[in-house]
Amino acid sequence: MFKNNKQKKEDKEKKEQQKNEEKPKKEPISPDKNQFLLTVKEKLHSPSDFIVRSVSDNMIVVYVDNLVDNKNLNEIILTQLQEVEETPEAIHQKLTIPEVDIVDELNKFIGDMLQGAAVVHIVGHEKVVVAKISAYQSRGLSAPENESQVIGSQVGFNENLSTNISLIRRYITNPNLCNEKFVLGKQTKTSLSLLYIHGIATEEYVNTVRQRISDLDIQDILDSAVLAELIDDNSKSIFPQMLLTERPDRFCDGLLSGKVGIVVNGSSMAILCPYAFIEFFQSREDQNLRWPIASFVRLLRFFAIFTSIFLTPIYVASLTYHYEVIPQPLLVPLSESRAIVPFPPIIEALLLELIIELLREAGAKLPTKVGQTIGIVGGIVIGTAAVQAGITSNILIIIVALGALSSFTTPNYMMGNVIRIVRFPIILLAGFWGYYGIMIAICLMLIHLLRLSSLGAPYMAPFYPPRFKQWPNSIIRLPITFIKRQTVNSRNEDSNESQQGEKKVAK
Amino acid sequence: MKKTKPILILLICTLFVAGCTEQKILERISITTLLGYDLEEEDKVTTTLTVRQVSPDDKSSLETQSNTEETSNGTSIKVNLQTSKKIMAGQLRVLLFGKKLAQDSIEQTLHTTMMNSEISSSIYLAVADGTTKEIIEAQYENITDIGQHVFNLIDHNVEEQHSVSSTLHEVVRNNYSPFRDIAMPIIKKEGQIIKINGLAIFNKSKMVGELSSEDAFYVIMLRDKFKAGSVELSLPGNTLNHDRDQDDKLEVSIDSIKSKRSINLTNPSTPEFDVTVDFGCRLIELHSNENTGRPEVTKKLEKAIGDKMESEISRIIKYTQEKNSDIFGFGDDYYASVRNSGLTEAKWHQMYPNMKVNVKVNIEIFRNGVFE
Repeated sequence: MFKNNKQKKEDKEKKEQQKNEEKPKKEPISPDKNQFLLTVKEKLHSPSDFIVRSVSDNMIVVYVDNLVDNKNLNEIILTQLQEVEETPEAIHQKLTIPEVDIVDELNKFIGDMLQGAAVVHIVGHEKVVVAKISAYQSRGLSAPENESQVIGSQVGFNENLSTNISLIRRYITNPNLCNEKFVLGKQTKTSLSLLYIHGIATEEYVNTVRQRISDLDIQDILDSAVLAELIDDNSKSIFPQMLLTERPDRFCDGLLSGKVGIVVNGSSMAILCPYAFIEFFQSREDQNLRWPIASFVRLLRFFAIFTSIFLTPIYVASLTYHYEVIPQPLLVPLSESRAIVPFPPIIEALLLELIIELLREAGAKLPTKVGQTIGIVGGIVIGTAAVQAGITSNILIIIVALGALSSFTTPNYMMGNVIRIVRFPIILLAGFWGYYGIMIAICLMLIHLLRLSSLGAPYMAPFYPPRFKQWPNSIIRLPITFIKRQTVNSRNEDSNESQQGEKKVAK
Repeated sequence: MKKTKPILILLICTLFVAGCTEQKILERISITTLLGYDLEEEDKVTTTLTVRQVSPDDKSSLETQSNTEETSNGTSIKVNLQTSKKIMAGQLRVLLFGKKLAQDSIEQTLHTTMMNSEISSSIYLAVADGTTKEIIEAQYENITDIGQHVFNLIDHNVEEQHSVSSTLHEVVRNNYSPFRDIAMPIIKKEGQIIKINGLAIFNKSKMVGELSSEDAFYVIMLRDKFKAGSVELSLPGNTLNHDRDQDDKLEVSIDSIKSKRSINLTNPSTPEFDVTVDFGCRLIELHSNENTGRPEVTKKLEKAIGDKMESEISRIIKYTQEKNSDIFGFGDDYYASVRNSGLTEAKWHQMYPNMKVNVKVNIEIFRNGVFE
């Protein structure tokens, strides 16, 4: 641990040095028109969509086509510039645009321009006026596809940062909702927002995330999933340590319970952290259902994880090594269905699991309509044919299908993937060593899970370290009046006692 | 890099060590469900077993195999020579002893069975009336799987407390305990039917006597608790109606029996025991027109049933004393109650026939006349 910290510190210092070196020098803006255009074109490598528009002899407007809102440009900027005194200050005052700036630095206004600003240059002035009238080409809000729910809001994030933030602000109208902006990626200059609620979120976690993001030195970020992998505690682990969600309601629920959120421009998935293992199996919808029903569904989901991970390995182990444990009524049907299968159980199971994985992958990559056909082809044709051809036994088909079905009940797609993949090594161990192998797999997995952390918070909380008070609401969904607002791992040390124990509903 | 080395070593070990494990793939072995031992001349033992084999034609078949050899391992080698798949005993459910073998000694067989780690300790043991071979090898019209049939036969009777439970675990425990003897059910083939036909009682590991299956009820009552037993009794005819003759039997049937027994040593020197059984039950059948709703009738019935049971229990204890077979475990109670008794197995078997037991059965009829 100590070594790691030291190394990290050294790395950090190095990075800071690099940053200082790389920081571009402040370049002045030429007061001459032609010189100005020349430098700007040179900077942008004279792109075809760079447009220069003369307003008068001394004044030009430059912008990048398609990034600016043409209506605003025509109706406001171009008309108002006709009537105004030709100094940056006067234009700044006169323009009826929400965001107008005076900039005296070349690189800064070029950055703004690339995000959709019109830049007004006046001869004889070393400053330009930047009018931000960007037009976003973005997809409209639609229902989230991967995390659908029956009861509750049906809106999902889209790829636009400001739309997403406005969605969140609509849910949480609170001055304490903090929004810190970062720009990441040397090539892409992707903007992202760090969101948390001051007073609820633990300062420590906010600082950790802030530090990790600003320490990143990367070329590009195209999606929040990449960012999540870069800033989580153990990037090599198979388990995700941060939640990726496309639901604003789930995101806001997280913020309100004291988590830290990150929204990345260009990605429809927002990051929530710290997230504990158990929370990946809790769905937002649980809050919307009546508590006994939600509890039942939640318990069903936990049961599904176990069937999904262990059913096939148990089949393999029992049939290969431990025929003693098979109940007598099952003995005859099992051995009869296995009679014509030429492979040992492990090969049989691996084969069938691979077929299911192939089906899933094919179904996910194809458009929805074709995907359904694949399901039918796979499920019915391959299933029955495999049994009739004597490659697999009937009972294994049921078990494997059940396992696959169970893995899809996990409310989080990333975690569902893990559950499916983690089966393969366990099947192998079961085929090698029987139940001992399964036990070894369970032990290794538990050790790994116990060692994991999310932003330094224990991943297996509230089970280890034991926080008994949080057990009931982690395993079942308690009636809403019993729920503590702040969830596992999000206890805010700074907020006073009364707030810490605050219930969601006060009666 | 530090971590890669142990992981690599572990992976290599996994691959190599995996080859050492003995695979027992379900359909590639023959599964024994019922095993019988009979004594032959010259101390040889005949082993008869049912073997379930699965053939690729989707059907499983039952075979019986029989062989005579001196040790059970010897027979298993010989039986393996006759079957196409290796015989495994892990699914064994019932172990039968021929009567002759039981009367000789089951010590050796118990020992080898216990030593076989494959065999579960919850299998049932039973004595066959006659030889096990004739039960196992016989053709039955309505029984397709003799192994499962015998197991279910014993299992459900044990569940309903009609028969003494005789799992390998319990039998071995009683056998190794110096002051307690074994009792196990006797199984008999009658034409096309297999039935439980009484209770074999043992002195050490030798079968010395038989009790009828009706007597098993009282044996369970003394050895154990009843949770939901049922029994049919014939009381003297004049129990309720004095005009009737005593020899005219009055049939009574009771169920939902809950009983609890306590054994107290009153006199260590004789030795003398007080056995008290608290017995609650429900009356379901009474061949009489008396109104059982009246308390005095119930009282009379309770008394008569109690008397009947006391006499039956005394008779059974006396029989076991004659055969010197302490199936109730009075010796354990004696050993537990008397300090520094220096009791040995031989000493107890000398004391047991002279033991005195005062039996008291307190009957309480909770309900009568339940209409279903």
